[in-house]
Amino acid sequence: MKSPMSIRLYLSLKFGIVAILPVLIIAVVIWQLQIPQMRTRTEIQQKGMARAVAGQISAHLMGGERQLSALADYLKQQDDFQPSRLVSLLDSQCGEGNLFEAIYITVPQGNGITAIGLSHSCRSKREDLLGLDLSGRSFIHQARVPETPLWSETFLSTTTSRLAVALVIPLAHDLIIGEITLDKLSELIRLLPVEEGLTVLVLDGQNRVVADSHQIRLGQHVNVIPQKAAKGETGFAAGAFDLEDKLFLGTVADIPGPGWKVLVAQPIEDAYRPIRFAFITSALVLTLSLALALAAAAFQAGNLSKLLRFYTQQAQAISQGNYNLQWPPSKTAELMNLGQSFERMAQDISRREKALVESETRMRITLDSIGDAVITTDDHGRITRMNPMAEKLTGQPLIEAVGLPLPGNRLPIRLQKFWPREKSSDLPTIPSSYRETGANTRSPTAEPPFGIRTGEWSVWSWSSGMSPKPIPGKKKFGRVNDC
Amino acid sequence: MINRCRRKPFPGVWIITGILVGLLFSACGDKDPLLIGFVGGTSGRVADLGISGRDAVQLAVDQCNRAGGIHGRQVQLVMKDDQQDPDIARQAVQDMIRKGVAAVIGPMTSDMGLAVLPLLDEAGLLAVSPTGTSQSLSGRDDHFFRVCSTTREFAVKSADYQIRSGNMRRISAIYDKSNLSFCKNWLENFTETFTALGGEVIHTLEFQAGEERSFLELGRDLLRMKPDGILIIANSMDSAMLCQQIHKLDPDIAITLADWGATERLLELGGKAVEGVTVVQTFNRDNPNPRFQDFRKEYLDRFHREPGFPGVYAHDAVQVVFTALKTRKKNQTLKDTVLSLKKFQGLQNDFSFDAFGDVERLNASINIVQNQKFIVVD
Repeated sequence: MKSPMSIRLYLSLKFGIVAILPVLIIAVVIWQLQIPQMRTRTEIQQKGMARAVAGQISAHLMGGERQLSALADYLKQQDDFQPSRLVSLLDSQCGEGNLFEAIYITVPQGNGITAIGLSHSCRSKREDLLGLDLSGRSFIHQARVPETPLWSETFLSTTTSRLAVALVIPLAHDLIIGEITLDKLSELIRLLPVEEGLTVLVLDGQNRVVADSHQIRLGQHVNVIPQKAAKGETGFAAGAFDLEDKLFLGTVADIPGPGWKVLVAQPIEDAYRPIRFAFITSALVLTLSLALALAAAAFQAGNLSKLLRFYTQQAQAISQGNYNLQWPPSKTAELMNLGQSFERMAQDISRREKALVESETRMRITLDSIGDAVITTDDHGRITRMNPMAEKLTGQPLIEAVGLPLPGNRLPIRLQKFWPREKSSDLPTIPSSYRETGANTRSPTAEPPFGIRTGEWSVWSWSSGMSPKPIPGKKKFGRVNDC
Repeated sequence: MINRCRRKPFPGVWIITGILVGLLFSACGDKDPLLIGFVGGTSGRVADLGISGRDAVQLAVDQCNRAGGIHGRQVQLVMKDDQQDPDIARQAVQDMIRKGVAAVIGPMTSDMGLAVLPLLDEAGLLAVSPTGTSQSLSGRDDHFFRVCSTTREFAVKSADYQIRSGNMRRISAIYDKSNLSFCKNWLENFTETFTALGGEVIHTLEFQAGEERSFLELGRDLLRMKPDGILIIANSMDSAMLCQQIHKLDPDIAITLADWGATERLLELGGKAVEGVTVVQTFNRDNPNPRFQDFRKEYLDRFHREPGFPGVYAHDAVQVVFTALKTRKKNQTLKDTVLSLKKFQGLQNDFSFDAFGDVERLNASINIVQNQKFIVVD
């Protein structure tokens, strides 16, 4: 059989089960409600960043588009432009190369670059670049609609040998082309007030990095898997993706114009760090709460166990006859009832015991005063009590006789009819002559039977020197009749 | 008296123990990625070589990872741009050694190979170069391997063709001193064969882009001695620029290029000025091998341009490293593994390493640019 556990452990476990329930509910609430909210907040934050960066880049590029369009309009209105004036004009538009590194005019099917303006640092290359055949560049052939700007794909610039993008505006017979180098773009996004830890990438139509806030992935092709955009929003996509075998969480926003995208991303472990921190904190707090609840439960269970031990001790005290016990006041009705019940029980036992003592006293007085000898023995036939008549008959004072076997062979037995006839069958060992007459006849086997008469005529018989043999159903208490 | 029996452990204890053991095993199962380095010039004037190589390596790594990686470990690429600067190349390789890369793909040019060679040997790190062809790197028991033939094969083939075709006999040559080991070695091999066959190199120029002399001036200088042909040993951008300037000055003169300049970028930058230009290479753009065709298709789909010879050789180089990593025995170095395997499958054809990690691919061809395409003529 399984051994019972202590009430302290039992109650602790029960309380623990009760305490786990709210902890679980809180954990589920955090997992299902708070974490998705935080995730959404992270996405919104990234989306805001992506929108801001896309806006900045768009403004930067659109500024260039407006500038080149204005220049194209101006050139269109000039019928006869002196080449030196044109070069000066184009050079001035490039300035220090903050936007355009080179602006040149070429005829699609002609003899290459007819005029070129360069940023200050590149002007020494003018001689090389004039007349350069650009027929190998795909954007030369793509720009067909007059005065409609066209953004090229990224390419390695002949002028600077750096990654660049070209803005092409077809004029009536020729093209005006502005080259924007992309390392400047990286510089631009690096200076934007983007949160630390965020990576900002600008991707061209082929997912090639054309600008990188960390300037380490420039020109690389990245596999960004756009997720479903949020309902009602266009131009945005958010989700997790692999970048250099690291999992990132990012948002992609479109840049109007060249058809690029801005990707604002951060390693997923960084993105979810606040969420993970919140979750771990909550888990720790909940675990601590649970531990405290269990400790409190164990403490309370201990108190209850102590109280129950106290009641057990009180019950043992009552069993030992200590009836005047003090019962502490209890706050709970059940324990108060238990205490009161114990108190009533002790009072009842005390009352009954008192009655028994009185009865005993009465019996002793009676026995002391009667003419019959009464000897009382224990289960083993040892004398426990003798009345004065028995002392007189046995010649042995009670104080000496107590504890001795009932000395039947030394008793001058002369009994008369001390058991009814109908009970004679109970006495198989008593000779029939003795049974019939009650005469003082000794057994032929020298085992003088000895009769003890109780109030109901119970009978014992024994042999000399032997312990009395109890007859089932008979009491061990009897009276020796007139010996 | 109540017997105090030993309590049986609470079932939850077993469950928690099970979970912890499970977590422990799952944590052990998370293998760290296997790092592979790539070093090449991905910016500046040699960027086409570096970018094509890098993209091909990236594609190969992605393919490998999709197929489950190497012995269950994902491969992670550590990419470095050497900017065709020896100091930066050395720094890049040192970074890779620190990071614990298993092997390096690159460098893409011979000079950068020579610059990083001592570091590779010191660290016992294998580098497989896709396009480093200088003979200065040949016949050495080192950790620099390559999957392309040496300059000798290209230069001899080119010289032989020019003489046989009668295109040119008196030539002016120009080479880029930023990759001096490759260029001088190329020119020496060319000159040796060319002169032996009756040709003459009447004028030699060296240059470095960005220096004082413009390309137009260099063109004028090349034509000064009235040669019947020009040999350009330079990267594709400088080759295209020189072709453009020479074309401006003398549209009819024959021009031939070293294999270094024969990338798709030459066609893009050279325009009409590179029409009729001859180039030498061991790479066939029309190769029917399904491995090459599949690779080319995937490369085009992803990067929207031709892989060119740098892409093809970079893919071959990374396959050498992957094969060696997959078959390497315990306590065997990667270098020893490659040498013991010896023969490898390339995208266009199989190739074998000699004891020094050099490869001889006897299939150099002469191509001519026609309608902005490379056409094999010999």
